[in-house]
Amino acid sequence: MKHIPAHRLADLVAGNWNSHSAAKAREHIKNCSHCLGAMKRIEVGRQAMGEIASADSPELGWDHIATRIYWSTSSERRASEREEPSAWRFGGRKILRNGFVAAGACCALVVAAYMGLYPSSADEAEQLAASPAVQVEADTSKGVSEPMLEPAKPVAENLQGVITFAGAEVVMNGAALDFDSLVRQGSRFSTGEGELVVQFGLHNSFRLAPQSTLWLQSFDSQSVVLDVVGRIDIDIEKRGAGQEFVVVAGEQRVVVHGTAFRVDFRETRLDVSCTRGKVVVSDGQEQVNVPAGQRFGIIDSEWQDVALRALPIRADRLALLDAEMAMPTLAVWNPGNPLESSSVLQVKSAGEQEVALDGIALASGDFLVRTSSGRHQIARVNSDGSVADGNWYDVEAGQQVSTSLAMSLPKAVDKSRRARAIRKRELKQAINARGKVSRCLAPLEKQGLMAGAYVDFEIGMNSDGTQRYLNIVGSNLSPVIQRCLRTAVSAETLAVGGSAEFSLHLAF
Amino acid sequence: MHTMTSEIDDKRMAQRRDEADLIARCIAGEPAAQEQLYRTHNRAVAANLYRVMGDNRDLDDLVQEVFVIAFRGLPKFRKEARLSTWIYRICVNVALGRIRTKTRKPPPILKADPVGEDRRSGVGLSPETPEALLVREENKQKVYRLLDKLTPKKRMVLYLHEIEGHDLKEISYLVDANPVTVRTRLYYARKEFYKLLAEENEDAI
Repeated sequence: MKHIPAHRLADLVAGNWNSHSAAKAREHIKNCSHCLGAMKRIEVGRQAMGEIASADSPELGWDHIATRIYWSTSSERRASEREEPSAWRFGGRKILRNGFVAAGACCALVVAAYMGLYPSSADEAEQLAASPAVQVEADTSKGVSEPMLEPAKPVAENLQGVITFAGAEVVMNGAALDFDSLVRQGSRFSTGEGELVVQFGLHNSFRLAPQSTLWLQSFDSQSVVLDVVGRIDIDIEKRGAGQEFVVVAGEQRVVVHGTAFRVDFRETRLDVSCTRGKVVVSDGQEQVNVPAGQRFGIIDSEWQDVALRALPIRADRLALLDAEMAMPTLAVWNPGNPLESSSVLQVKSAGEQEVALDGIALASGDFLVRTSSGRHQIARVNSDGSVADGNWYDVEAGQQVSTSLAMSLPKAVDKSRRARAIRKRELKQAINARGKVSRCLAPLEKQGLMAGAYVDFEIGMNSDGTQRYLNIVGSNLSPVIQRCLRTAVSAETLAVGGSAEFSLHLAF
Repeated sequence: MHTMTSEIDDKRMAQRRDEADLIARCIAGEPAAQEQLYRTHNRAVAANLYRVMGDNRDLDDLVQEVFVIAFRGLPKFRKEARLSTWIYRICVNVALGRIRTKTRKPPPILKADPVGEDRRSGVGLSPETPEALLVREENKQKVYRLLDKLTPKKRMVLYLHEIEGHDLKEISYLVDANPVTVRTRLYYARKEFYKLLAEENEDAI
């Protein structure tokens, strides 16, 4: 006799069978050790479920939560009061089309108040008013106060940046990059295979990753607004009062006060990771705080489908991210003439050979790096991460020195091939372990249509274990199942390892 | 009998009027009204979230999220359900969002908490050994672990039906889905969940 399905056993435990069928089933269970064991486990499980249903709320910091709710709602109210009447809707959310700078300033102000960075007297009064007991007192103090004089706005001075690193195929303002040109408001960059690092103060710099574009919408001492598509790493010192720093990524803004963080915005996906300080991601209506060591991501601008919270970054990934975000910058900064006392090293190393400057691994391929005048060592980085003995170069201010390093092409190929094989194996294991793929195929399996089904993926895996891209290049499955499979595979995040691009054939 | 029924109806009407008044004051931005609404529902919200999620990590954040959404959505509240039901619906959706995005964290370290446990389950008078309490707590954690294996939508429907005891109509309102869809989802969820439960190692549950 067939065993009784588990969900039917659950019905039996719940008393949902008629007496005749129940008696027959119990007779079977008495003689079937499999069903008997299953029934016992279900009984215990259902008992536990009953206890769960009667669980009461744990004690929480109710007053603290109340204050946070008050602040969240009142911040929104203030923000909405500042909104222009021409607000429009996009993707089911109301956002402002015009004036990212103005909106960014409002947002920065709101965020600053929210973060408690600039507690104005009004904010303080509102904070006090969160408790009805002190509301009267706060109102009274407001009533007798004289009209506040608006403080004089500080004069915005244009910022100047210098390019401290540039890889291959970097384009500035539509033309080939002139490494000695200064970066100013309105500058536009696009990177091909190489990266770009710009420094605009002793402790302020950003790095534009390969295949990214950047427009410096605003670039002065009071407002820096960077419009980016692709990935950008930013490391800035704490902003002064009234200063804003905003990264515009599509319809989202990443507002920052002084921090190191990464914004990765490609097509419809935004990922913000923060390694130091705190940033706030906002679409004009919703906002999410991303403190140090956390990340926040959205896909298709669908804020409503995500829990509005940042998630912790795993310790190993955080360490890797921190290391990746280190940028080659000048140790001395002259605001009047930033190019003064710096020199340029041009390094040519064919293929993937990684090169170190003064003992620190910098990049691979051809690149230009700006450094202070003096003596510098350029060396190859071995496959185990150690730095080989290199050559010393004396460079004077304003001078450009070129060098080329020999490389071992076979080694690089081996490394890449090995990384591909490892990553492919890891991904397959991860997919099998989760069983999500089989869930996607359940309808087909039910109909007995599995034989011969296949899907071919093209995958780019980053060294931190996240996926750079994922494409389906061939399949005989329906689009719905393909989409499901793609979602299942894209959800996989591997351990830190090699960066690799590979194809994956899944046959069922 | 008739008098008693009419008294209950009157009481219910008065409650509705109070609720409508409270909502109107909240929409007008009256802090005291918002405070009152929060104090009335905070424990129920936290309890619901606690039961859905299975632990109290980030519970305060989730409670905050529910109330922020509630205050923001109050002007759109159509009064087709009780305010408490509407807030419960928000809880369900917030929990669903959390389940969707939550990373696989290691389960909290289990500890026998006789006093707390007794208080919660109302069995303070029964002399249970710490071992028995620990086993009960472990069984609950295992239920949550199995729930974790379901897709978020299935998990939620199963939870609402099997643990909270809601019927299909109520669930369809709470998860904003067609009752037929809910029924299908529940069928597969039960099948999957009880199969997992039945296949647990004999000494596991």
